Amino acid sequence: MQIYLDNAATSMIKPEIVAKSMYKFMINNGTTSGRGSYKKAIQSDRLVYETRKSVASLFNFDNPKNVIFTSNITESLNLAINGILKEDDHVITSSLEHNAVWRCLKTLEKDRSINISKVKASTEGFSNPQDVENAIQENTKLIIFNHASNVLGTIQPIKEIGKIAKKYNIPFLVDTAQTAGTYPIDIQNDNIDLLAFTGHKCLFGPMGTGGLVINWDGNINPLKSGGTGGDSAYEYQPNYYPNKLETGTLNVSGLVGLGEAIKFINKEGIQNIHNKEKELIKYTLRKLQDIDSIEVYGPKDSEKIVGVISFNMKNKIPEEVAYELDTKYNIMVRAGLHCSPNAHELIGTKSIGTIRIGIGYFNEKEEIDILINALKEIAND
Amino acid sequence: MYLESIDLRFIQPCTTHTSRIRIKADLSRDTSELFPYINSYIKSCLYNNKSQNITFTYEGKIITIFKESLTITKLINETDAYEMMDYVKNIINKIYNDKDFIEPSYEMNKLPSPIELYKLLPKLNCKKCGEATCMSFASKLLNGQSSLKRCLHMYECCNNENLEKLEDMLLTIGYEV
Repeated sequence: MQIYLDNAATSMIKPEIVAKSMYKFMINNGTTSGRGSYKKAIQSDRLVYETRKSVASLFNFDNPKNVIFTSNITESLNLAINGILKEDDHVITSSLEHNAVWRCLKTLEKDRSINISKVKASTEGFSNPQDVENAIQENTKLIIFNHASNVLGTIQPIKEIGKIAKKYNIPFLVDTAQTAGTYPIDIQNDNIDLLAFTGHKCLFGPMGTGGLVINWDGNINPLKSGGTGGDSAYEYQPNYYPNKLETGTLNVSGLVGLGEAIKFINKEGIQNIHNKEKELIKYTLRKLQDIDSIEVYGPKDSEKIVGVISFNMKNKIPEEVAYELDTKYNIMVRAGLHCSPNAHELIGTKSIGTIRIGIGYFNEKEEIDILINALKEIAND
Repeated sequence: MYLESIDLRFIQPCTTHTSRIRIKADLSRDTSELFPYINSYIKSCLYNNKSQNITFTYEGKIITIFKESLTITKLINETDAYEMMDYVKNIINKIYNDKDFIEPSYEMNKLPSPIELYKLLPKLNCKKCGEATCMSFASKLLNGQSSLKRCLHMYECCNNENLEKLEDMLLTIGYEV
């Protein structure tokens, strides 16, 4: 029996219909969407549109044209950040960003002389919206925050930060890698201008899907130039969405799978998914804290985190523990810095990293019990 | 559901606005019984009772619903096309559901006069369309007895603006262009 607890990396277990629908599409259709003008291409197009609509409606957004598909959330974030920031612009971000944001910003710091203000966070990963407001300057052109940390799980105060961003007319970009599908997100109510999402984590879609939902009317320069299925004689990217920022052949089979995955989530209900995970998180935190030699990081409160829990074991390096969990107990977790050096800096684990478990909708209490027993045995070794 | 689906059949660029597209789509059933209700429900609808179609504009696009098909012009891209088809499907189903509360209107579209069309033609009387004069071509266009494509001079660059106006006029009457 294998136990998968790395849902923060990807949702290994997906609803069966996701893979089935992708297979069906590849066998029965398999054409590219675009102005093909034959029936199958038109069907392919329609399927992509339906997924655009589903994504929009999942986030309470009513404009499918502004749902841009990308190959993953890293691309979405790169697209928004590179597309908006210019020379000498100022950007405000959290102290827990993933490298998808952090490396992107550091590169622009080097190439376009942008200035970065990192809003400080507590050792548990809490950020104060007031600190965001205090950091705003005349040339602040973008505010970027992850919705929840992929190391500490801490849910960030998106709604309040979004409200501040609106007050100063600064676009607000939110990285929903750890929350879309598992935590209710409302692009209007949560004051989000640019919502980056990934298809393959809590949305249960396949890898190779993701996108950016644009609830903002400012200009975003395209990251890529290429064919958009129309206007071919015009030698630049067209000025309308989604084609301006979406170019080349789409991962149509992937988007078909993503469409089915979102249908599944709507059927189960995000609130039900969230409640089940919250119970599991609560249970896991309690059990983990019972083991003396284990130090758990982050808020240790199921109301304040998503299913991401980082911890370390006394006298053992994270990779060792992860290795034993995998080889002896068939339990999959992740060890290391998790591409978020800033978050580790907060908790003092920048040199050793942490063991991270990612709890998902398909995990069960029994699996947590097996994990806890395994950890106890490893600790006593 | 009354109208189960609208299926896109054909996409082509708009004639003058080459960055826009127009589409033809099939309706999963005949909705012509609802036309008088649509005529009443949607303001500024043009009901062509004789040729059994109904035209209205929405967000700058011209939508013409025939017995079992529709055309939409001036769309931005495919996503726009699907959004508009969703809009039409939803509104048809809504009108069907609320039928008992809507007073049907049989008020017909007032056709433009041939002179209104003539004003937009090249007025060269070149006879290439098969008619002796542009005025008689205009009448034939109005009766659906000739097609705008027969006037070769219309498609010259200098006539672009008038071509678009003529196309819109003919589309609004319910003719395909």
